[in-house]
Amino acid sequence: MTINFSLENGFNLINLGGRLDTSNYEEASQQIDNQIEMGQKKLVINLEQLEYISSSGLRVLMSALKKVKAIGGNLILCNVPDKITEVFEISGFSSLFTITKDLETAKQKITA
Amino acid sequence: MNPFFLNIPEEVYLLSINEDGEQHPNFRNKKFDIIISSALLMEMAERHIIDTDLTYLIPDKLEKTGEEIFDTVIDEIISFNDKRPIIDWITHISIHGQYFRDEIITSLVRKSVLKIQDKKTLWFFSTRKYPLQNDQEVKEVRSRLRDLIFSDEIPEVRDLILLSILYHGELLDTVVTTSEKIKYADRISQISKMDFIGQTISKAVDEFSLGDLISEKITDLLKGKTAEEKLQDHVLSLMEKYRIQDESKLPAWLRKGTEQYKKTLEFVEEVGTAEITFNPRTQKYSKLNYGYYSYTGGAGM
Repeated sequence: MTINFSLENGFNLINLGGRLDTSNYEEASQQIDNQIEMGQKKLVINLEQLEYISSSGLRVLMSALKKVKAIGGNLILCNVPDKITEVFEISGFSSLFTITKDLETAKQKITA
Repeated sequence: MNPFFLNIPEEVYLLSINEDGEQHPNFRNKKFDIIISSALLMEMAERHIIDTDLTYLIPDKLEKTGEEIFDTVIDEIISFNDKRPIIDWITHISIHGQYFRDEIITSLVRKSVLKIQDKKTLWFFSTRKYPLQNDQEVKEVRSRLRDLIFSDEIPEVRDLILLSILYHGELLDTVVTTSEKIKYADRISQISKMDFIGQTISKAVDEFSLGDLISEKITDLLKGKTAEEKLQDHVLSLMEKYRIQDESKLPAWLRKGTEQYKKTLEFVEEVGTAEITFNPRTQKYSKLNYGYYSYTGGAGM
């Protein structure tokens, strides 16, 4: 798994790649939580490079969404690869999140 | 360690019993064992003992928990040492159904949620509630799930799991009325999809033959056979039913050549039937408990 953060104009961009599963869910969760605890209310997670996600990985995203919503913020997923979209569809997560097809649209929505 | 007062199989079991503490007839069958087995796996996934994806159950931190029913399943997963489809595991571990039920009831009695009186299970308190934990009231599962369904909150993982079990195991009626079920159908369906093991329950239930362990047909077939023949016929039928392809994957008490198998054979000789089960904790055999498996009908079950 790769995860990196960058502060953009009005939101925090998280690039999440590789495999998000039980071997690294704690690390991913901890790093995203740190951003939220530092006061980042607006998060965009770019999943373009994400290759695989298990239940543990899905719960990292759900937990982040719950925490951001609790402080009145927002979280948007973008660039979701087809294979991951299938997982989101079957697991019902696609109805839980705001998902945009690209980063530009995500930027517009999160800063609107 | 489980930080919650009750584990998920215990919470599901409590939903299957009525205000008098008795299990509703619709749940006295092997299909409820599949639901309990799924609940066990879901608890293990929540504790990151295993992980799942769309198809597979993936072994993860397979460390013993000190809780017998979980450790029994962990032992089996270790013995396979591979990822297998979720549905195979659900079906496979439901072979321990009676043992799981026994252990769950024992644990609920130990936690003062239920009590045994005149061989009957009863709620410990006169009403359906749990004892205080650290002077705090533990919210009963039914009211917790109702609150979740009627809100638009993002669910807690544990409640998502429970709702998924109830939805896919066709137990929703234990929590909501028919009109509520219709009114909140979209919300219930959305949350219930969120667990891959939960999604597999209905498939496992559908595939599980109604010609279960207590069918008269099997009993008739076994008449007039030696104890070993009865046991072997029974083992073959279990292997088929519980998707065990290799005899080496059978529990020791059913695996020919083990010391435990010899004891199993002795018990079959003693009781005259191979429709028995073994409790790994107490190391005791018993005939199948017809209190658990007395009913094969019921809506959707």
